[in-house]
Amino acid sequence: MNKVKSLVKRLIGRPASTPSLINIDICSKTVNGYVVIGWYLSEKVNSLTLVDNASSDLESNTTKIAREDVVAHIGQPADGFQITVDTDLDIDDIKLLAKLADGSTQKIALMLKNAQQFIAPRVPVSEEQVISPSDTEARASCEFVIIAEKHIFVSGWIVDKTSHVDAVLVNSKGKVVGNTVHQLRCNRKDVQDVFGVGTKVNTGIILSLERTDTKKYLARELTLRVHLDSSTEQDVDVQNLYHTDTNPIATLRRLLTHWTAHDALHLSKSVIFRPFLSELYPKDRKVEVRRVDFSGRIEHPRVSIVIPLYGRYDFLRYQMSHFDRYSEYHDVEIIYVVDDPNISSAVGTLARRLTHSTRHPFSVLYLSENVGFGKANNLGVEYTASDNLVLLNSDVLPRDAEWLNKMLTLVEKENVGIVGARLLFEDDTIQHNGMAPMTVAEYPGLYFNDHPKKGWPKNFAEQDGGEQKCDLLTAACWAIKKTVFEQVGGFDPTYILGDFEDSDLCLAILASGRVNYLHRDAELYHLERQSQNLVDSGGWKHNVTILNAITFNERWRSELEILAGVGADSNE
Amino acid sequence: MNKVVFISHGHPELSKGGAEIASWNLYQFLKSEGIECLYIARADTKSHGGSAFSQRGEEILFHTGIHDWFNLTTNSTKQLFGDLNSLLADFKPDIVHVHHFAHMGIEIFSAIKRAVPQANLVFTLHEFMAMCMHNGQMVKKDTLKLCNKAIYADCHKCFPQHSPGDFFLRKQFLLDQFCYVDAFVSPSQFLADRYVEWGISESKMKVIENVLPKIEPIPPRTLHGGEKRIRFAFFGQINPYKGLDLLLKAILLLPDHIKREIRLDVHGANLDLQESEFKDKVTLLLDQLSGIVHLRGQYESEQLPSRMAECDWVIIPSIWWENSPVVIQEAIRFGRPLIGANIGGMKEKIEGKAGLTFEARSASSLAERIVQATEPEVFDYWHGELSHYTCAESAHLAFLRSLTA
Repeated sequence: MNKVKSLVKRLIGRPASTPSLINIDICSKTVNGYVVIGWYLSEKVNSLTLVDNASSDLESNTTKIAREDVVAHIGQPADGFQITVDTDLDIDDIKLLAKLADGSTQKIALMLKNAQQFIAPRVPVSEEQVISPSDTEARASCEFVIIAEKHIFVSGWIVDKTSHVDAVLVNSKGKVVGNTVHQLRCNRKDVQDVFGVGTKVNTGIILSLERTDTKKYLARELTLRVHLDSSTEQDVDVQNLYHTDTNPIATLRRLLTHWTAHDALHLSKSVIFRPFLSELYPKDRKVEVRRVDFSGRIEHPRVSIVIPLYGRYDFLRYQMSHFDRYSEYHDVEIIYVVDDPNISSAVGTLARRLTHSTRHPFSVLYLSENVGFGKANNLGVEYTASDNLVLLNSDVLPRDAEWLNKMLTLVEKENVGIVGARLLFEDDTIQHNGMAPMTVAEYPGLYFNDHPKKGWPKNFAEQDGGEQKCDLLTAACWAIKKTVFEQVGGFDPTYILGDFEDSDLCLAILASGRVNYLHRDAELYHLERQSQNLVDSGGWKHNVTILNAITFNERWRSELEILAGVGADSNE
Repeated sequence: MNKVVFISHGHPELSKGGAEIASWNLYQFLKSEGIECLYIARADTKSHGGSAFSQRGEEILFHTGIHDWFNLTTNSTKQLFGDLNSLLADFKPDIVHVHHFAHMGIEIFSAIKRAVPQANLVFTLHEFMAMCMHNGQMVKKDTLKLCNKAIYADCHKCFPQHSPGDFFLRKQFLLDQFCYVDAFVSPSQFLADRYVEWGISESKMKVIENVLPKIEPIPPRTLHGGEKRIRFAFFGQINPYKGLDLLLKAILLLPDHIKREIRLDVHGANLDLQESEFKDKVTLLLDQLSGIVHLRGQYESEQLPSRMAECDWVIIPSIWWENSPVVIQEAIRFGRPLIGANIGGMKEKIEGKAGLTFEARSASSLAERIVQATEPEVFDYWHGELSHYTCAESAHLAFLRSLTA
């Protein structure tokens, strides 16, 4: 049909009046890399690939797309293309390489385009540690130090034969600036590759020093004095110096990159990170909160829904469209907490735009810095006007409006703590049907949160709907009384980047004598971790989970052992 | 029913798409019935002084755009919620009849309801744009395989930059926005069923064929001395979805004695603009069928009767679903039975009503039907059946009147 052609015309982009050889309509970040979509004049362009700055091929995947619309519009043969690439490179470091019919090549710089819904937080990519000739000559390197108030973290490598690290950090006067309290050797395949066969793999070093002074140092003022195999003394420069008061995520990643949590020795030394973590994410850190109401406020709301936004902000559109659709939400207060200054401006723009098409009032709290899931919720709760709370993740979308009344009816009953919901993936399989403690072979003695029957078709899970006691519930969707939430102090911000604070609070509620419930008739969709994955999927993030797990287990070991003793079937 | 506003995503004089023409024909018909109508067509061009509206004849051109083709949303909120809102409030229609949201934004429904909450909001569906991001075709992007259902994981394979969850969100969002619509009109039951299965309330769905302007039937071609019904015609764009290559392959498969006699006229253009693989394939087939297949090129609407008059049968070999292609309605009205693929809108409009169907995408099945169609008695039967066709004009009128009764 002709109409298809006209619909397509600007589906992705409209051809210019004088067509360029190659036209890019969309350049967007994906979970693992980038996607580039556009079209080219097929008589003049032979092929397209993505390359890095050194013109090395990035092994991208190209799909040809028929673009009748373009052909009809420009009157020349043209083909559409979609190129996807899995890469950690920054977009500035990727070029589109076109091989032209005349034998020449053309390199086109890329920039994000038509990609608003994919804006991710600007987490810097991991700094690649380049092994320089001087490092090779010294057979040792101090790649960075992280200075905390009372401690210094040292990371680098020493090519030696012993497992003991004999090294001290000295200042320009040769004075030792910290006494080693912990040390670890780490595997450094990259170093082994440089020094060749015969070099051991665990040349990496992690040192935790207790500071002997309180001076402010620059990197050039510090030197790592290394005794290679306790004989040759070698001074190596500190290449980078970081403090704990700036860019916590980047510093957190540096701290945890080389830690091998599943190694029993490493696991036993997790205490190394404590002083740095408590400074990177201080419990009492004050943040500025700016509240903006869109379309007014709900007077005397029946319930207040608190939704943190981090990374992806387009969930705001989908959720507000949903809340606006059903009259059941007419007395529901909705408060978004923007826990990511990178997206504040975009959230404001989208929120203003939404006020045209949606009537339901909502409020946005802009936080001056990223505080993490638990604290963002705590701050959001402070601004709520109802004693009934619903804590909701931004990537949760209700099936319809029926869930809310079901959960609220239950939460208002005496002695009820938290009411959780049955959450589904988009293909109607179980995402959350209550949690249970579980152990994993790699981390003996640590309990983690299991989601029994996760990914199972719904009809394989318990069909007897309604209210069921359930000790551990994911905070992706909770109903809880504000007074109850505040009695236990809200979420504990000790847990970093959104892990375990929900099960921690569940256990705190149980300890207060209340009972938690899962309402299986309250169904919502949860596109789990759609936002969190935007941070990074590297090993350091896994290490954060392990550190949080250690904190969680230290605090609740006896309770977890009781729960685990009954197992996953403890939910009555 | 006193006042009706039509909103189309293009003016048919500027963009001859099916939805534009369908809305235009209905608009002209209602005007001829004495109903006060306003036709608002979204325009591509910049307007004078940056205004939201300009005029073309009696019709209003609406200068706006869409900015997010995933969610089908616009950033031009002033145009939708300011200018269009004021215009509608001023006109005070009983019915707002939307024929597309493309190029204007899915928010158009909420904008209309805000402007004239008392008016009935009718939306005519023309393809699968809301459920399929691949141009609303329900055909997989790489393989061109037919999609029977929009499954998030499959949509993600066509568009890997969007996760399955993104497609879930997109669907829920579009369904939320469709809630503002009081009644949906679908020109085919097939399209209606797909949308109801997808999530639109069945109680809001009404199937009414598109309206065509007055067309007088053309008598069948006169046969001479035992001649068979050997003149076939293809009307439409030459592209991979319309299946001309399949039709040419079918002709190659015909028995020699039939192949020697028949003639296929291809009324359509743009073969030279196709990508080389498809172009080479069709060119090679055309070379093999020299003297049988005649490329007649594009035609204007006034040339259609004479081109129809030349043929006995019209063939629709499309490899995608089609919905209610205008060429089917035109062939029926001109008195030319059809041979079409047994899927989607083609099956619904042709099978048992207007001609023969063949197994979609099967050249041998199509060849069998062509052989069958050359028999004069087969033609005569289906030609006779075409006289049962009833025009949708009165159905549209009755439906719209029922909304305001």
